[in-house]
Amino acid sequence: MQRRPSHQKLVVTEGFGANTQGTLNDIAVREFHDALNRDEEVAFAVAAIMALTAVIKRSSATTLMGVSKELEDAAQALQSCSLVPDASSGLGPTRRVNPTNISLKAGCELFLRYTTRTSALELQDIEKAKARLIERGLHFAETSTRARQTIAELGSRFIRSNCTVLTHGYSRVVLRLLQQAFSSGLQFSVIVTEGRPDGTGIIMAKKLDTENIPVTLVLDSCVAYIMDRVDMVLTGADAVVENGGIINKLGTYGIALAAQAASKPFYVAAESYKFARLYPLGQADLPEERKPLDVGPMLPPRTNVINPSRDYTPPQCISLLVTDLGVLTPAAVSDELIQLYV
Amino acid sequence: MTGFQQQPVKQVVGFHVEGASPSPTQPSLLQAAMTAGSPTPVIIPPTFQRESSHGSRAAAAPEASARVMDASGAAPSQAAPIAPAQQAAPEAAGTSSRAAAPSSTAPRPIQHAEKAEASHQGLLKVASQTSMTSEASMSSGLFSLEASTSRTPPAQAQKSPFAAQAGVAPGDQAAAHAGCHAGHHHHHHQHHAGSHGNAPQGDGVAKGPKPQREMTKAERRALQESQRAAKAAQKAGGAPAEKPAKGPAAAAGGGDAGRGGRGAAGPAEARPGGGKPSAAAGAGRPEAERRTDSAGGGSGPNSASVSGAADRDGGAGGAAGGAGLPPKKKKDPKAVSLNSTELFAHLQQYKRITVSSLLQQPAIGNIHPAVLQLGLRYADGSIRGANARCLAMLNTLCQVIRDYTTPDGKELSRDLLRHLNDHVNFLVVCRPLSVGMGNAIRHLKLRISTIPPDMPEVEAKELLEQEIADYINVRIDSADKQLVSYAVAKVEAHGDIILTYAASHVVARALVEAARAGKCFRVVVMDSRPELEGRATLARLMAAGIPCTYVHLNAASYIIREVTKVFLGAAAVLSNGTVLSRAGTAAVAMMAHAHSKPVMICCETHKFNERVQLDSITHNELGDPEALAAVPGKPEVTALEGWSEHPRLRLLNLKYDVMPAEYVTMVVTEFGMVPPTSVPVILREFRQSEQTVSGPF
Repeated sequence: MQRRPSHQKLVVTEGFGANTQGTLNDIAVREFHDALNRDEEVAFAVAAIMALTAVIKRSSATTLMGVSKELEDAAQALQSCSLVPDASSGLGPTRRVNPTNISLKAGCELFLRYTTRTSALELQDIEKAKARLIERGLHFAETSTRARQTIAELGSRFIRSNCTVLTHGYSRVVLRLLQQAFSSGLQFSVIVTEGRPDGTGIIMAKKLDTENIPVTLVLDSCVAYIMDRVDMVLTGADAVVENGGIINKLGTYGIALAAQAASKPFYVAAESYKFARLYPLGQADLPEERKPLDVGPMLPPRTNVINPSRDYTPPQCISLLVTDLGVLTPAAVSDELIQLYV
Repeated sequence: MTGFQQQPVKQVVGFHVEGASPSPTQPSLLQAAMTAGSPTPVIIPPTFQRESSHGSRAAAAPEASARVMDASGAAPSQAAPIAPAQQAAPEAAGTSSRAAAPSSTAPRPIQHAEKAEASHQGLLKVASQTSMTSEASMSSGLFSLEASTSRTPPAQAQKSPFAAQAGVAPGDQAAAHAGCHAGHHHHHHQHHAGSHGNAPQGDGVAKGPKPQREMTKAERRALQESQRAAKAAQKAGGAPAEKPAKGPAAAAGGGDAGRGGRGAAGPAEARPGGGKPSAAAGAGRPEAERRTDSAGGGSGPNSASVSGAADRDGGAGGAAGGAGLPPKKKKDPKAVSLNSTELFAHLQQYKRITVSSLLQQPAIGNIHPAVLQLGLRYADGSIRGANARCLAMLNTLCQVIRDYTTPDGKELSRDLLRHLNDHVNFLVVCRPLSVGMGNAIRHLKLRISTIPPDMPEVEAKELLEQEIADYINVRIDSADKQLVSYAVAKVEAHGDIILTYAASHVVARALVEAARAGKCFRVVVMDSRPELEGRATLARLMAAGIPCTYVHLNAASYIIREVTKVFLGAAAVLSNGTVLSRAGTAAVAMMAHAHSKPVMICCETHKFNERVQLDSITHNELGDPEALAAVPGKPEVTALEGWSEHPRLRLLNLKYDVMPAEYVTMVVTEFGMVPPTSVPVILREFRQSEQTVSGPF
């Protein structure tokens, strides 16, 4: 899950000025950034969904096809618009939102699919149809924003008192879930991996600590060592793919394999807007990612570096997915997706 | 010959086939069956069945038919029952005693089989005159196979009814006929004759068991089970009271058949009739003589098996009628179990289809010529592949509908359904339907049945033609295109080595498209005997300039290491994710799974089916066993020459196998890539949309 440091202000730059569709996309992108800036807890996908709803509201298209087209263009603009962090953030050169950010893409796709499904639309009357689209868009945006709370409520039941939960990196939905469980009076402890290279695990540990949840930090490479003491593994997901597998921060697959070997349950907390129409065959089959290498300067000259930032965990390793649609087995993810796409 | 009879026959036992357990309603019979033989069927492909009880049953068979003729000859059907029943008794006793003595029975020469077969044609015509439907004749054929394969030398599997009779009266075709008919009818009567001693023939046919392939599996099992149980009960000594009547009744029926079939039945009756008393009296007669008496029985057990009724009833008669004559020896339980159901007996047995054999189909006159042609092309394999077959069938049915006119006083939706059914049944005779074809037919029938009665015929026909065109377009053509685009996306731009097996239209198309899209990959085409379908794929890929490797299935374990992906086609995908595909595909998938290579199944949703199948036994197709015997291009391989003469050899040419869902990484459909666990979801969505779409009609 991509994360924005709170001090990082998002500034709109190039990318859509040259866009001929002009204003609607501008509106969409502005809405997108507004939503992101208003609340740092807002996920990219949810911000995009809000922006797209705004597009429908302002749309002047007279046909349903026209509305769909505008939405698609706006979604495209959202995915390719670039964000420049404040100069004060000190994060170095321009950092772009990865154009293949899967959760953003998945959110846009799902929204488009959900709103423009032609069934049950009154095709004759464009105004009525548009009203229906807006209604659906709002509904989708609302469920998306509520998703985390729903998941926290559903998932906190899986945590028993005195158990030890292993988590990987920083995930807002996992954090919310743990908070929910803790606030309901359960005593449990959390083991957090360091989360190299971006150290998101440390952020997670800090946040848990401020909530007074007992937390232990371990190295990423310590996972197998610590697995004996763990009762369950709980991670977030960048995206949930069609067969119920997940794409998540690098290291998740290793943890899942270790959990499987030790017969510990592996749970995933993921909002349903992260369900992506992807079906990776293996690690090599993930969408391309472009990011700067983040390794030390001390490399021997002829050494190649492979430095992915996420991996694919196949459904066989996953016990259950806690989503806002309910607690699903991996196979049920596909069922949900098919209902939208068939 | 003696040798193999006396050894215990090796069997594959241990499968419990669904519905195979004895009927719960007959506990006593069940018990009898349990003691008499294995309650779970012995698994031996029927076509290749034959074993030790061979001799005894075979010997019994002609006699049974002889008795049948005798009965009908002795007394016109009404009068027949009692006397022949008594007569039949000792004879049957003799039968069982002979059965008990495992004396050898040499495989009968079948020098007369050809003649008998030649007479077959006339016979079947007769059969249809005597109101025997095509199903009836077919089913009796099937039954005979099923009941008797264990004693049928494979070569005669199809001809045996006639061969057997030829044995009874060598050279006497009339006799052969009569016997044959007796056999057939006997079969039909066996279930009813008991109640009305002497069912008229037509009645027997009408009430007879459903044609086997129309029965559900459970029904078939139940039937076999009851037959087996009944027999066991008789052997146990307590023949049910109605049993004795059966034989004669059936006999009468058979006699009718003979007479109806031909005036020549007379001589036929005479001869076996003459032979009969000796058989009846001669319980102690030397075995050899007896066998001569029933000459050819070994090769043509069919009269016996022709329904299993003849000899069974004989047994019944023996047990009941011969009160003072207890069954001398019990049959070897092994032998009984061998006569029980075989693993593939429920499948439509392979039959070589020729023009002349099709012309013997009774209802052939009603069959549209285009369908005739289509059936022949299915049979000779010039149209193969699930999609091609389905397309050809839909196009042909379109033609049938176009040429159809509703008869006066009939309702289109009903009459057309019946009309189409005839055609579909005809196609099934040529080759069993594929799942896709079944789905298409079901779809079409659903539409026909929803045509309102007041719709003008022209309009209705146009509607249906449009429906078929839409189905072809949406479910097959566009689906193919869409599916191919998804499959292409899964081919990497560089360096993939893709394995495919046998021939799949969509897989080949996807690979060609991928090459056209500039992707750089190599294909390993895997193939296997006897179909060698992979060569067509190979040619197609080579023509597209794709680098290929051609291997046979036996190289799978080697080649799988260098492969990166496996693309396979499917004949059907079932709702538990099981994939039904060309025999050998499951082995490939299993191998890929063991090496963690992704297995992608390309299958359009029109080939999805709600059925659940756990093995490749319950539904499958049998190919020509002869195809296994000869190796093209290797004339020196002669080990299987004359395999059909060999008593204990069976060749099994299965066409399909199933792979369980866990070997399948994904199913590529026109709706995208789905895990095999999601097949039922797609089926459900379709069912819902079908309901909503068919609403307005």
